[in-house]
Amino acid sequence: MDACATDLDAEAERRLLQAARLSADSVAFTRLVSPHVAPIRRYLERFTQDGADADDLTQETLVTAWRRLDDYDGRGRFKAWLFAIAYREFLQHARSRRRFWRALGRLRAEPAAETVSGDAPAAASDLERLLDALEPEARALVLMSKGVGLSHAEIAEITGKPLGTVKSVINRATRRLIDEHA
Amino acid sequence: MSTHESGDRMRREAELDAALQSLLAQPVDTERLVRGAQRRITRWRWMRVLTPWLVAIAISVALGPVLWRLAGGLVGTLPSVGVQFEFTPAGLAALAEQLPVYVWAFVAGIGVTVAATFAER
Repeated sequence: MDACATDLDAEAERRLLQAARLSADSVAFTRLVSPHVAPIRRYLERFTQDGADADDLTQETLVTAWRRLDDYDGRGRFKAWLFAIAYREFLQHARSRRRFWRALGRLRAEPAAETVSGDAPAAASDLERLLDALEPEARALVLMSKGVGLSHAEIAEITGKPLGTVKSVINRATRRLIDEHA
Repeated sequence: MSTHESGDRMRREAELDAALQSLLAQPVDTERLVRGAQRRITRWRWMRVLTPWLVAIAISVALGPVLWRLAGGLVGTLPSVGVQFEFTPAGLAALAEQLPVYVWAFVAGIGVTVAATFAER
């Protein structure tokens, strides 16, 4: 599997995609998604701040990708398509967690928890703490842009936000990270 | 902003990019995650095949006796196969003797559906 976890060139990706689509070839699908599993898992971990939840959402992302492989039209990058699925899986997860906490809050007659996070990892770096201090939206966008390497246009498509908003949120978050990380 | 400040800012932004990239590039147990996803995919495939059958069986179990009575009473013919069926202990025993045929036909039907579904994907 480690051998699979290297970046694929466009031609190899296209061939694997075709094989996975035509014959439901799980080996081809595994090779196709393997290079993206670690970034997706790390990306989701930054939001859930819970390893088990990040694992669960990563696997759900892969299942959804497999089910909807025919929907990928090849216009954008496969990586961006996968991250769009991961982003939607996270939003769905966050919504259900918020519902859960609201219900629990009502039962206990206490304020519902505001965050979806568990305990932060003890060994979080300064950068990780700064990231976690950002607004969730800013964190999502800056990680997609700076960490994953998606373009502003791709991020706008994934999140459904206007391109101008995406750019300004990323610029503001970047400035803040640079100033406070210095 | 002076040229020096601008250059410094660009350098720091490049450092931030590199730090964020390395944050997301930290190794994870890819094999375990992919294996887990494959198990979920297999489960989903089976559920997709079995769910219509389970729903059909549940509806049959729930409505079958009612429909049977509405259809005309205690004596009748199993419509699709033409087996005479009498709703008495003796009639039920006679039907039970023939039941394995229907059970096997049912299992074969499921098998064909499963095979067709997997062949299609």
